Amino acid sequence: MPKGVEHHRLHRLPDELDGLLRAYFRAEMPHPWPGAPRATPSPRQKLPFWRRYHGRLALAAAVSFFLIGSFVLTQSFPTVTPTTAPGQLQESGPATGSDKQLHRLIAPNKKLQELPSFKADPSRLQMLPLEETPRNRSFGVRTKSGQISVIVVEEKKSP
Amino acid sequence: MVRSTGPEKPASGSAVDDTMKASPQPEPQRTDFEALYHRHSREVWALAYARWLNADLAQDIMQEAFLRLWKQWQEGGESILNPRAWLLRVARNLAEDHAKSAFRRNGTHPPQTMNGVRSQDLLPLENLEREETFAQLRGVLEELAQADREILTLRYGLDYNANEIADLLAINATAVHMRLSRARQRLAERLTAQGVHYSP
Repeated sequence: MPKGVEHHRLHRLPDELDGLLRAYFRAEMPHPWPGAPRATPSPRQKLPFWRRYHGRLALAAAVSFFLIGSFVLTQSFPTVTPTTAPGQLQESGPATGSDKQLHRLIAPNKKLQELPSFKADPSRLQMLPLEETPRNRSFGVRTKSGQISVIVVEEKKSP
Repeated sequence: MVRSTGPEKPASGSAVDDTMKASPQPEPQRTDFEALYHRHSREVWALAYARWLNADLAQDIMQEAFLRLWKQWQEGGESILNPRAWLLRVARNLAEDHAKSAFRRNGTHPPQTMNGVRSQDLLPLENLEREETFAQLRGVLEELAQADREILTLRYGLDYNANEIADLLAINATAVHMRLSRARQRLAERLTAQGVHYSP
């Protein structure tokens, strides 16, 4: 059979409804039939554990570091109970200059009784008048250890 | 373009065989998936096509349904006892979802935009005649009920017999015969009304 005739027969419309429907649906179907879809592997399954959860792990590590660090810092300092208001001087013993100087070196929240070198004992101090002028007076204070401090007291004139 | 003389009739596999192969495995086998695709892809396509009478859309829906099946296997979630029924259900849902999609409602271009696009192949006279007749037939098919279109697609597109259609649509063979006869009758009447005469 000539090629043109065969081509014409293949493409001739069928005379029956069945043939028409068959030709129609076959023409509509994909030629060639497509292959099965290939899904790209989901990244969640390929990634290792660390790559999958690194964000959450970093957050957990940061929170843990913060909590543990604050706990350690809290435990490293002794608990102190203030006897006086913060910043106020403790006025005990003779009101000498050396005593005041000593008190100023103490942290406000520290108890004075906890300091080993301080004892409010007047017999440990010896005051010696050194010089007296119309404008000022000077004293020498000697402790039992032999340390001498010179105190100069100026008399302020009233305006 | 390669044209086959007829549709490659898929082997209608039993649900038992599918269940054995499709049961969730630790490592889903690609060969099992390919076999399942070879066995049921045409059925899935036919049902999607019967919904919209659009071959490209039906192909997209078919591919999407199988893609979801593959992902379902990989993730090992819900166990699929009957992949064939699962695929058909997913394809039906996808076809229905398409009705609500923004793409269908709005489209991307008005139809007249494509008027100036020419096919690379020259259209011979026979092809023109055939396309015209097919367009008439498509118009009549669109007027039929979806159930009629499903039966006609399975019967004439896949060459399924009554028992195979009954198995796929979960109805008995007598109902298939009855529906098929009525669908052909309605189709012939409408074609006749349009001036196309075919013996039903």
